[in-house]
Amino acid sequence: MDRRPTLEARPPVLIDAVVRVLIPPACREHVVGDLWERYRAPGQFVLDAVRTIPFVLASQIRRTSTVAGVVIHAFLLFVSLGSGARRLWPAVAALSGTLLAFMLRDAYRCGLSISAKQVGVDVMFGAVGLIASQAIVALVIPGQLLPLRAYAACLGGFGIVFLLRLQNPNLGTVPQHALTSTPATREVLVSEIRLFERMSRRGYRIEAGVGVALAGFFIVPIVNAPNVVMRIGWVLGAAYALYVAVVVTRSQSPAMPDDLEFSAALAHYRGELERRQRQIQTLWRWYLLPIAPGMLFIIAGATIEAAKKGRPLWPALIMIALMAGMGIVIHMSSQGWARKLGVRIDTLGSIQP
Amino acid sequence: MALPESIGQFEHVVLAAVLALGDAAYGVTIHARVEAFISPRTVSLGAVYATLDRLEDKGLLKSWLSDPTPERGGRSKRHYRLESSGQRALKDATVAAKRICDDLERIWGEDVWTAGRHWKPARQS
Repeated sequence: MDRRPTLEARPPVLIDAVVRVLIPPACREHVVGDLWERYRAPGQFVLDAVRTIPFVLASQIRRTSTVAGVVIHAFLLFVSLGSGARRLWPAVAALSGTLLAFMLRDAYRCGLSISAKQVGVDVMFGAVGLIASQAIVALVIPGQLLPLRAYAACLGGFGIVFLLRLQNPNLGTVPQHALTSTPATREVLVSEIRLFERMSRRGYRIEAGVGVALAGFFIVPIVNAPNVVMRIGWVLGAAYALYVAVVVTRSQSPAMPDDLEFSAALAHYRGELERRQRQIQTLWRWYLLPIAPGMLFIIAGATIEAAKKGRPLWPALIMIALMAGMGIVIHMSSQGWARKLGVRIDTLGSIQP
Repeated sequence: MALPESIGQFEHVVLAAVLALGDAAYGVTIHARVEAFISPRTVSLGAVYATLDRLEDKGLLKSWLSDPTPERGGRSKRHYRLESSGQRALKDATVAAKRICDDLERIWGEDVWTAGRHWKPARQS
């Protein structure tokens, strides 16, 4: 018996609509088409979809989430949630829900979001994940719910995540779509350059603004620090924040002139990418290393206070390990971004004007 | 010269299916060919998609969307083709599989390579 599908054979509208919504947009077109082509009966279609969607979703998450991105998000949220929760498990449960929401949001997002509104929506999804995880905890283990003060503390964490995503939407350095194509016309090349310039300018502005704001904010702990070691640490921290703001402000370059020919625009863009690549490769030297003295003084000061009050000293070791781990993750990611930029620079170099 | 990208066993099967199908390689046909290769075992369509994505990210495959077709609800097919690096990786993996097979034939004293799916290892006494 011929069991090939006919033109009339199609899945029920409702089931088809649900399946379409569940498949990430990036692969929806061909996956839904393949499921339609294999359609025999509603039950078979549902089973096929159930066996397919988890794989395509996992694959999409692998493509849209980076280890560095997840670790950095987890660290920022854990610090903010943990400082409010003061207990480990409530913070971990809330953190897991939030991270999962971020990953799913990235997997289901249509293209790269670079507008503040889109990034705001992304962060809102994270907040919804936090609330959903708390709803589940409330049903299963109500004793592990986050205290109210933790929600206030995590607002700061979400704020930093918003700025981080706004500054660097895919935790890379060039628009993702640009990595796969070679600009053949001047218009395409110029639109990529303008996007790169726009993202760079915004990234620099955020970095400089955050540096100045942090330096100002650090005046409070400088004044209120319980001992001189800690005070030195906060002063060094404020100096570091201002130093980064100055470095990123000075490293900005003017926009490309409008009247450049294709080859001149290409050369200009390659020069800018090479400059950015060098900056990223040396991130450890100007961005990561200078923060270490201030942090060490702050941790030493906190340890002195803990010893005076007879509290355990091991949190200091954990804090140092966490800081070192974050530094390593950021350094390794930056080397990966520099390699990606290198690929783009090579691709642009192979274009014949 | 840089070493070719290493691939796992299932990736090997999927690459072979894409090569065998030529211009007709897209999700449904690749899945069918993979199941034919690994018969009597079966595999979900989703596992094939995940592997195709991974191979594409490794630069071993190239994909593009075709024009929409009516029997698929007006949706396009994503076609796949092996890149030269994919051909190299497939060849290397096949040579390695052949070496393993030769060695096993020598140890077991049976013709494993041509026995196909009816082959079963001799019970060790």
